[in-house]
Amino acid sequence: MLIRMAGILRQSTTTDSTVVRLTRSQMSDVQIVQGLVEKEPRAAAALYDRYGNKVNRLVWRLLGADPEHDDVVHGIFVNILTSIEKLKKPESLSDWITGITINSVRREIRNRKYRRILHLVPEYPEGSGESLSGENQILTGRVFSILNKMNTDDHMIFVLRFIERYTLGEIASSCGYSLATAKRRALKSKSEFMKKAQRDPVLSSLIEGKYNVP
Amino acid sequence: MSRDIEILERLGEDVAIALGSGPSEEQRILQRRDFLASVTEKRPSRVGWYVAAAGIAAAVVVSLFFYESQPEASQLPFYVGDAHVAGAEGQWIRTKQSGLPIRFEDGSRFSLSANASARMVRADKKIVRLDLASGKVECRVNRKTGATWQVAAGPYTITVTGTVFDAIWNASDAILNVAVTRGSVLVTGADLSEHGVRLAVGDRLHVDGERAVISQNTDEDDVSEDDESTSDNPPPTMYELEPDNVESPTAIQPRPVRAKAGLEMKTMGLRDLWKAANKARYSRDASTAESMLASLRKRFPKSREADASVFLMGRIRLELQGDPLGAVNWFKQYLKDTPNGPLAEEALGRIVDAYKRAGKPAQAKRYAEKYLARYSDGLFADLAESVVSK
Repeated sequence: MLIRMAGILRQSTTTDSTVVRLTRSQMSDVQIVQGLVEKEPRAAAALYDRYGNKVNRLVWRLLGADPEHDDVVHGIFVNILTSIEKLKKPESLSDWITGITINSVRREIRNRKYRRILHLVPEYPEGSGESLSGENQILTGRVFSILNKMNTDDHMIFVLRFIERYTLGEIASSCGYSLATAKRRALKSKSEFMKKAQRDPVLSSLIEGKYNVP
Repeated sequence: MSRDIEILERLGEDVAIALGSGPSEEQRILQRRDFLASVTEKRPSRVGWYVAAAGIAAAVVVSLFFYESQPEASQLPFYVGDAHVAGAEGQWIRTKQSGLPIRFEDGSRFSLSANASARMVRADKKIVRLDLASGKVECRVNRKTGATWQVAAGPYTITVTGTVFDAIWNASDAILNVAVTRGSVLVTGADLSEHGVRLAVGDRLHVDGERAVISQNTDEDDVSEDDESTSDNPPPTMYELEPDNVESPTAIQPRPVRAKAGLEMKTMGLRDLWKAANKARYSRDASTAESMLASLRKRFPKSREADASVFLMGRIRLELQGDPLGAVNWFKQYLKDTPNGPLAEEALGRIVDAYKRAGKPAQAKRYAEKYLARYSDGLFADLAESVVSK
């Protein structure tokens, strides 16, 4: 509950310092969902404040510090608002948002592949991740240039498993797979990536020189 | 664990650190603002979110068309600099060694100081809104216009109705300072009260995300970022924001090391320092790596690299210095600071490994059980199972 600072200030007559604890707005997930269904703006603010970092991190990592990051995130939040009435269990809001984020990014990656096939957009540029510094940009650029040549699901699973460090169980529940399917796909994405990375001059030398050190 | 998986885990760790956890704080603030702006526009209650979202896109196109094709009668013209160059909404204004005035025809003025960056987001007869990205601005507002004048600084908005005040926004540390010379302002946003903080003549506000300090400004100096009234003035009123995690971190005393090129570390930027620390680590120069990471944590405590540094300190202790118990402290600190961070699973798994290497089977087993409860299919699951079964 927030304290009215202006009121407290004017009432303060002591000469001692007054320390007042302000608590951040604490709506529960159930209250957020209810507020969103009722179109309350403060529910939308609470939604962003609670899940903004999570959504941003997932999209940032799945797309690799993409120039269109903000548009993708905005689209996800709008998607959440428009689909909120479909959420049957408000207490599962967090997992549901993860699912929406992953599905949205999956769609985005697929759409980009189709656009590339139709020559509507250029190949994923070298050294992407414009906001990163030199070496970081090179590393992420090489990794994502390989990921973008992989099957969409393999791309997603690779990022979730090896960059986001999701467990197989978490991959399964976030992507809507069975555990056996998640294991199988994780192995496939690993093999695919290694095969392509060995053919990449930058990554293959990093793998031999740095990451293959016992 | 297969060799390929180990290699990809290491690569993935570096990519995670290189990427960080997302865009900059400034970018997120703008994201939040844009998102909330798109959902708080007034519309008939029957209109669903979906239609509203589609409508917003159409409205942007329509409003741009009208903006381009017709002179906007309600706009307030403004002029930048001493040369009186006509300003445009949305255009960035950046100062270097000297400041720059932004003047309005009614005599109102924003004066950007040197090394400041701002843009006029909106300037019409209803609202004039300056977005202060960084630095200091002095504001003199003529109350006769009837418009609402606002200065946005990070997550805060300063609303004025006819006043003279200074605002300084330190974007990298997210610190706001406001001092009112005439009239009054209302500061809202972030974790301030939902009703905002009203400042009157002589009031100064300092907000740093954890505390809001309101004091009386008794001298005529410009407000400074380090301002804290202490002497004859009444003690400031301080408001602390309750942190999400009320536990205070246990102080960790790193082993004292001689800092190499100490002066260089104090002057390096974040990225250079991070790069140098990792280079030292890869070269197995543990003492240099440790001192550089310690310097990074001290100088850039809110950076994502600072979080990762805690984890890397643990790895240095474990793998380069043969100090598993020292490593445990660092991994535990990482879990306390960022319990859901990208390296949380690995930190917990390495605690198991470190306790095992230190010959502490009971502690290893306790953490192995915690690990398996959370990451039954994780990277360290085999190790944890072997520890638990002993």
